[in-house]
Amino acid sequence: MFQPHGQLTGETGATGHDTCAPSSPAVAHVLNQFLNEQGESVARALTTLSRMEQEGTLEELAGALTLLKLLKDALTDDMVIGLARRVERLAAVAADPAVSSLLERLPGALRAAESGTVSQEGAPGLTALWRQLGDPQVRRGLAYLLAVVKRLAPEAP
Amino acid sequence: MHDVVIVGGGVGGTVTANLLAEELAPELAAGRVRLRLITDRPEHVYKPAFLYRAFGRTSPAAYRRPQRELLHPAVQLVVDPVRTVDVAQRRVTCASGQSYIYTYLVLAPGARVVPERTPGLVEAGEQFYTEEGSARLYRRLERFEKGTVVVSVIGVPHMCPVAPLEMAFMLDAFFRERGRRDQVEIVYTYPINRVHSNPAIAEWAAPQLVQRGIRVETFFNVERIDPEQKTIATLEGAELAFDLLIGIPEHAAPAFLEESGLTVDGWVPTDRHTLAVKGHDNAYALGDVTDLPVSKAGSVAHYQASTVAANIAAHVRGLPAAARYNGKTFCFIETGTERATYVEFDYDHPPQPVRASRWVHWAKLAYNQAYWLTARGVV
Ligand SMILES: Cc1cc2nc3c(=O)[nH]c(=O)nc-3n(C[C@H](O)[C@H](O)[C@H](O)COP(=O)(O)OP(=O)(O)OC[C@H]3O[C@@H](n4cnc5c(N)ncnc54)[C@H](O)[C@@H]3O)c2cc1C
Repeated sequence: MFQPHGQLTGETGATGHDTCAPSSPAVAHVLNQFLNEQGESVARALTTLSRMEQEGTLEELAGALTLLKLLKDALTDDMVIGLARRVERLAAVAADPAVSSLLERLPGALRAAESGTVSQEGAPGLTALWRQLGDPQVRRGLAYLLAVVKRLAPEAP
Repeated sequence: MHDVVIVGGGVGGTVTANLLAEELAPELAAGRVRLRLITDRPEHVYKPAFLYRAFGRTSPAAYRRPQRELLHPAVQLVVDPVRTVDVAQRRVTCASGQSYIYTYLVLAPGARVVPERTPGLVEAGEQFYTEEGSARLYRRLERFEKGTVVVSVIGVPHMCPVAPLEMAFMLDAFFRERGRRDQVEIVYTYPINRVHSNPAIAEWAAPQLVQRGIRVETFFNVERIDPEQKTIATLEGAELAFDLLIGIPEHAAPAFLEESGLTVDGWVPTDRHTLAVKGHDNAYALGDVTDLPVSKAGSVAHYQASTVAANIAAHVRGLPAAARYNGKTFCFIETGTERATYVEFDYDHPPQPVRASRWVHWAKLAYNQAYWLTARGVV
């Protein structure tokens, strides 16, 4: 089993004497104490780390983290503000109760249309269309669309 | 009425138009501003794709989009090549004879290649800086079994300062993947005493070239090419034989700018911070056409677009044009066909390439798609 205690602290102490003498014994002491208390979990963490290193996962992780740095390097304040503004607008639209209620109904409506007569048999004749107007659900749908159409165009100048 | 005329439907022109359309939405709606983009073709072309086209890794459908689709609806699109710009009369005249008066002008017509300036290059050289060039090069590479391929940087500055290095790295990977690398010698030449004009990039790239067995010739200023003998002669007196020459030709601003008296030494003199054309407060230049000591890169045109748009919007509103460009540049560098790195720098900070990885290569592939959002001004 991996034995971190003496080795790690010993090494730190030894280098400490050569280089930054006053603080190193103190650092060694703190490390020693820490390892005495947390030795098991440090050993486990180091084992995981060493396994990740051997498998190449560590390297991949470092590579993936480069993507974060890349984003930071590529973006500017203006771009972040612009993007956030768009996300905010989209989110506001999506959060609107009318939009979310429509979004809930839309997939079902589209599926029905895709599998319905129009997709399968082509354009219906005028009489067939006229007959469909007898269906109150079709009339409600049309009234809904007309109400949307009415408000869709910008105000006339 | 303020008339904003943008010349060029590439990265710089398109992003500037879209940012202005958004920023000046109230003024456009009230009819106080008119925004026009004049370009010479109905389709927008994503030029970095030419590098991939040269290796058969993309097709025109992926790098072309109708220009109209990319523009905010409030931008009027005119497809008519510009022939002259009269700054005294504030007038732009197109090939059809139609003229447009401007209050503010944005020059973003990019750069063109002028291989004819190097004797023998048109006859004997291939290049990947135009769509036709990259398609032709791919056909040659596919058939190339053995011999010497020379990637020679002839003209500096050129579009995408790292593209010649990328070409050398990708050639190495291309021939390895096909099992022909030991039959093909790759030579990379550069005019000064290192492999790139930017010292930090040169320092990073030199060992990368060595590692891949790519021969390097520096202080290599091409004087002429002998298409019969297939040799390159340099000003330094050297001679280099090739079987396939990939020459990075000289570049210049579009001819109409020179004819309109708007260039000095081939490029439009531009203030490095405000991006105003020197001596003309109501005209701005951005992207490849400027004389700035920055890379001729799409990212540069993109970053500059926000400065130009902010300054023109300020003019329209009677405010001081306070936006400043800091030289920011961002370039991906493909180090083969599976890995990439990138550099980011500005006027005050040199680049520091990160370790090449597949992740960065994927980021570049993703960016190639996300570019269409960039052009729309979304990111
Ligand atoms: C092979 C290759 C690889 C590259 N790789 C990268 C990369 O990885 N990263 C990067 O950032 N950059 C890269 N670049 C550079 C990048 O494509 C350019 O820097 C960028 O396109 C410059 O933008 P621009 O708006 O100045 O000019 P362009 O995008 O060239 O646009 C100019 C526009 O003006 C139009 N035009 C020209 N003349 C006229 C006229 N007389 N009248 C009207 N319109 C006109 C053109 O048709 C074009 O639409 C690469 C370029 C090449 C060729």
